[in-house]
Amino acid sequence: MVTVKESTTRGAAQTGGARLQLIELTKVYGEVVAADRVTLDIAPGEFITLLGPSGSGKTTTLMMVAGFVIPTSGQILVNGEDIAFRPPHKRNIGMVFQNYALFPHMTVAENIAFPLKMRKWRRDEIERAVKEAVQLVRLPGFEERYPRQLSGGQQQRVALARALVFRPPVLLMDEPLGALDKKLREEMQLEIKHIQESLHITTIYVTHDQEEALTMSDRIAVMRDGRIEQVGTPRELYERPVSEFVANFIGESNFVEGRFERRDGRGYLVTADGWRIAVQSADDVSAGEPVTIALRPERIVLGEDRGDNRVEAIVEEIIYVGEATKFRVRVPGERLFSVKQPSRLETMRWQRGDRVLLSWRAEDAVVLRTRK
Amino acid sequence: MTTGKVLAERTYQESIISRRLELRRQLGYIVLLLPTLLLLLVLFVYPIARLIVTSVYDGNQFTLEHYRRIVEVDLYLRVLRTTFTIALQVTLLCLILGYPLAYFLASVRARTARLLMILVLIPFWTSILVRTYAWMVLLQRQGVFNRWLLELGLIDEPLRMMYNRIGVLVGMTHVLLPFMVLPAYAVMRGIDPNLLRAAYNLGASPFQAFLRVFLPLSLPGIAAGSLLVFILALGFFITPALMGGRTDMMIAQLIETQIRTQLNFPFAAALAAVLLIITLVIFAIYNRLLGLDKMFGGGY
Repeated sequence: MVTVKESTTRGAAQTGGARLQLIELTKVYGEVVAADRVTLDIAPGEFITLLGPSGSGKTTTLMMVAGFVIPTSGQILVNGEDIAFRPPHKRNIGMVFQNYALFPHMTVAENIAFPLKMRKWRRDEIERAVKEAVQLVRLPGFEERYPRQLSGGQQQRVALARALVFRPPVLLMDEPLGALDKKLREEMQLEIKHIQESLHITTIYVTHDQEEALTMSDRIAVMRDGRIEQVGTPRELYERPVSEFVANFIGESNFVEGRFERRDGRGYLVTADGWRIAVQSADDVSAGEPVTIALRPERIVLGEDRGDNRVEAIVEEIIYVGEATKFRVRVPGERLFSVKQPSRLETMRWQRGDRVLLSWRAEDAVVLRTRK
Repeated sequence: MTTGKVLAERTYQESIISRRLELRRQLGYIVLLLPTLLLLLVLFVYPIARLIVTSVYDGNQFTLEHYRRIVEVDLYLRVLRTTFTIALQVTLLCLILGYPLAYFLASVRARTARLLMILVLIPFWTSILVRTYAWMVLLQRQGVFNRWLLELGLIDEPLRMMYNRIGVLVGMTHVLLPFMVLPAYAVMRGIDPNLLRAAYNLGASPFQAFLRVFLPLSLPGIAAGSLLVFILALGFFITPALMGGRTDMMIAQLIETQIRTQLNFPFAAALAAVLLIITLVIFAIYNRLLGLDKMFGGGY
């Protein structure tokens, strides 16, 4: 009787993920603050990526959620319940490890059944759930194989199936695609995203690959030195970075320092050597404040006048990368700019040493407060 | 000549050259192995062949009489049984003591593990004779242990810990323990710590994770260690000779008595051949089940 009841509640638990809140989560190792008051409110079913260079605290944060690192202070709330100090095996959180961590002495089916056996599911329930999970990751027919008989991509799928089969409300992924080649990685990105959406499972994904983060995430938290630098949708982060670090870590940017000026309701940056650049209006910045502007290489137009800013530059270097061509150009004040243009016949005619016209619109120059 | 023919001629000549180079490389390997091969042949293979020949000849007459004697005489069968029992007991003791030790070494940091490993290896490098005498000092009637126990009032009269099974087991286990710890440690070190984390994450308690993940993955190491200890224990001589009881004779002691006091070389040879065959059979079974090539890790 009890088992029947349990299986019905299990069925109910299958729909959707939990709300996950990290509150002031901190980890200190001796003198080093590996995670510094990390705070995130993740909605049920949301896919959030922790993005940052190595040592930025993203893995430490993930390990605290998984329970392998005990926080120095802070809270981890799953649907309001604090699990920060619960042992990992009592957390009911799915995780895909960087190297997959499949059990080499168990078959695919046994690997996937493992979390269900630990939860003492009935045998027929386990069989059915394993079958479903294998279908979910599109690996039917591979049940009796051992992990060593599978390709990297297939191992990845098994790891995902094993992490999802017990229908946890939260899924953690630690650079799960790092070991795969580019083509397969892009395929898996979409597939993981689709599975995640169909199960509506709350997901924290860790990567240092900005493209991967932009492709998959609902929101991205950019981390640096143990702290969250900025949280936002991929678009917000790319279009409106709050710092030079974010502007440079997600995509690439040209930076110019100066003071902010306002004239006729429009914003300008004036550099120390007198160059005046029309920038976004930036209402929260007061006149005279020292600021830096970030300008995306692909927002600059080469050889045509199509914006509020025009400047003459000399081509220093041309790098052809297939679909695009990158230029290094020298602009006023001996500054070097990166410019990226789609590869077309017009962009091909430029040569090193040519004088070219650069132009860009005021909105494309994002104003960042210069930090001390 | 057509171009095709010229090309064919060239590839033919190239194939001769490459074959010659290949041959030279193989010759190089043979030269490298030659000294060892000769040494083994002269000092190992030839004497063993002689030994077996000795065991089946009586004068110039072929006979299996000596082997029949081993199987038919109660005393000799008992020696064989004792030998196996002791080897098995020592293997079990080494397993009980060695597994937790190897587990501990495998879980501490690699640097610490290397330092602690020296502690395991120092006795390994000390002469068996020295270690056996040391145990005799500790275990004998008037020895260190008995004195302590008496002084603490835990016993009223000295315990017999020597010239019986206890002495043999203590001495042999001490000598053979590193043979269990080393392969077990090597295999355990190779187990990815993330596998245990994955097990915890999937809902396994620490005990379940050990039982279902760590233990099965460490089995090749235990098997290799047990094999080494068991086979070495079968042919042990010094420890049982010095610390064993008169009724607890092992096969190596029997062989020695046959040669030294009975001067019965053919019978001693037959006993030695039996020991050799048993050892080879155990190796064969192990190879069949687990593969000798995987003895020092790399199982999965």
